[in-house]
Order: sequence, then C-alpha cells, then structure tokens
Amino acid sequence: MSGSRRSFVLCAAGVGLGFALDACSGSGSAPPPSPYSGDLRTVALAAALENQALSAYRAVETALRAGRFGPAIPALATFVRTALDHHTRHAATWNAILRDARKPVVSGAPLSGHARLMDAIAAASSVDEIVAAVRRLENQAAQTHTAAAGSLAGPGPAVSAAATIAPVEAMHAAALGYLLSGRSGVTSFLGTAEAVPMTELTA
Amino acid sequence: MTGSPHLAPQPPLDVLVLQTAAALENLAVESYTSAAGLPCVTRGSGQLRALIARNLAHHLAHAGAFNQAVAGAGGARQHAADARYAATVRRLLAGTTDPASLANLLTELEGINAQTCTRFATLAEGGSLRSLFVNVASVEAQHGSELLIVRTLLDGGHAEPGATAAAARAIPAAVGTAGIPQAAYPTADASAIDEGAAR
Repeated sequence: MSGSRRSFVLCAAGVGLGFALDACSGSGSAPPPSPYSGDLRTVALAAALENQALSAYRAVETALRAGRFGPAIPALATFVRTALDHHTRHAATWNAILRDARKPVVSGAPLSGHARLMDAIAAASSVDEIVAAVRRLENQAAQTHTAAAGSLAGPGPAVSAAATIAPVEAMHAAALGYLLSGRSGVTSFLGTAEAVPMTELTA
Repeated sequence: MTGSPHLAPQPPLDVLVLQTAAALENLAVESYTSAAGLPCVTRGSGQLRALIARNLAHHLAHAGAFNQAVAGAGGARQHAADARYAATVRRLLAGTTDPASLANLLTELEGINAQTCTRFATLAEGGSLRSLFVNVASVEAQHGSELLIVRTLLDGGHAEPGATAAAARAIPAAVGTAGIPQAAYPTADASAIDEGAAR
C-alpha cells in the first residue's frame, strides 16, 4: 500500500469517515478514490498481478542474461520467455474487461507487496532462490484467480478469464518446480489460502 | 394425448455437471490404477511411478469432492467411469508397453478433465461451485504439465529432471516450454454437461 493511501485509510479508520474526509482533505495527501469497485476491483487486482509477474520475469531474464547464477540454463531461459508472453496476454485480457466497462486499464503493479517481491528477486543469490520467488507469485496468481471465480457476481467475461487463466498460472508453477528440481509441488487441491487479498491493491 | 414422447424431468445444471465431472474423475482413477500395474511402470523409473501414484490419489480426492457436492445439490452420486471414453481408454492402456505412450495417454485424459472443469466453471451459477471447478481444473492442468515434460524428455531420450543445478542446465531449451503450451486454457475438448449423468 502506498504511503498516501495508507494515510487516508488510517485517517478514516481513526475518526470516522465523514469527519476524516474533512480532516484529511487539507493535507493534500489523500489519493483520489479508486476507480474500481465491485467485480471490477477483482478484475483490476488480477491485472495488477499479471503486470507484477511481467516485472518479475523481466528481472529474472535480465539476471540470467547477465550470468548472475553461472552458466546458462537453456530450459529456464525459454520458460521465462514463454511465461512473459503468457502474462502479457493475461494482462491484456483483464484490461480489456476494464476498458469495456469504461474504466482505466491497470498499468504497472499497484500492489503493496510489489517492492518487496522485486527486492527478493534482486537479492536472490541462486537459481533456487529466484525460481522460488516466481513460483510463489505464480501460485498466488492461480489462487487469486480461483478465489475470483467464486467471488464474481456470475457467469461472464471475468469468470471466463479467471477459469481459463488460473490453470495456466498453476501450470507455470508446476513446470518450474518439476523442471528445475525434479520435485513436484502439486497438491490434490490448489486452494486459495495464498490468494492475494483485495487490500493489497493500491489503485 | 399429444403424441410427443414422455420425457423425464432434466436434473438441475449443477447436478449434471457435477455427475459428469465425477464420472471423468472415476475414469482417471481407473486409468491410473491400471497404469500403475503396467510392466513399463513397475519396471520403470521411480519418478514416473511416484507421479502416477500421486495423481491417482488426487483424482480419488477430486471424485470424492464432486460426489459430495452433487449429494449436497440433491443429486445421486456418480460412481461409474465416464462411458464415452472408458472402453477406448481401457483398450489403449491394455496395449501400452512404453512410458512415453503412457504419458501421452494420461496427458490426454488430464486435458479432457481439465478442459471440462474449466468449461463447467463458466456455466455454474454458484460461486463455491465455480471455485471448485477452477481449483480442480488447475490441478489437472498441473498433472498435464508434468506429464508433458516427462513425455518430451522421454521422446528426446533425455534423463528425467534432477535436483541439482547441473541437471537443470542439461535439460534442452525446448523442454522449458513443453509443460506450458497455452496462454489461455482451452475448452474445445470439454465433455457435454450431461455426458456423465447418473442413470
């Protein structure tokens, strides 16, 4: 969560919404209200997660090209390129739903945990560490989309997007683990315990 | 008397799709059980045996979840294997003698199950049912992903993935994308909603 948005929430929580709006408006730090509500907020969170995945994979690609982890790993390099293509398409799918609803598309990764994730990737000292970081974000994305399929109001383009994208994110996570460790992390149910909560969205 | 045939009332959509999903899971359970006993598996690699045993356990859990949900929706549990595919799969399995062909067949089965669950998620009205279908579709897709990697490695005469960095570097570049063939999970091979209806 950005500092300005956190300030607004704390202010509102502390003194009551009506008074808080007055009290906080003079500081000039309150952000504009979110353009997303209801199902479209769920869609915006999904788009932000796809953009976050793009940032993460670009950082991984840069690290691999720079030889940060020793000699090349050809299978990981091709995996990363394909995952980048997939997440680009996923972001476009979610943003098309926002555009059709005449809402702004999500560019960048307005997520409170984004900087922490990028720091973890930058600090990774081995292939195992960097792969663990992107596997975690793939699992989180798959579980967030699974939860979205259940929370959206009813059948429609957003449910279709969640249903067709979640399995692909789950495959990314499974393939990464199996290719690079020979071990499978697949469990009998995907679950939603690691789904990213809506409160992480700062847009 | 109108002359039109008397038709039994159709069960609700949720009951139909859950019975069909359960029938496909039952087929997967039967198929993995048979696969585990094939000579190419019992005498083959430990990694393939482990995948088959684990996937079998997952499909048992999925069949149980779908049957529990169908009972909750007021329908009859489905304990039979999907009739559209059962005979063909049994015949193919009986003739399977090598791990690559087996991985190919199991990948196809996982694809049918995952595509069916994906499609049914877009049809179901209730949120918890939609979430269950996406949940299970994702796991079947993961099974398919790992089987695709196994098959590609076997086809190329390569060793299975290992636990070391050296093993990872030895995997050919093309295998890196074998387990992630689509950007959007397809539904063209999904079963019809009433394919596994309990009779």
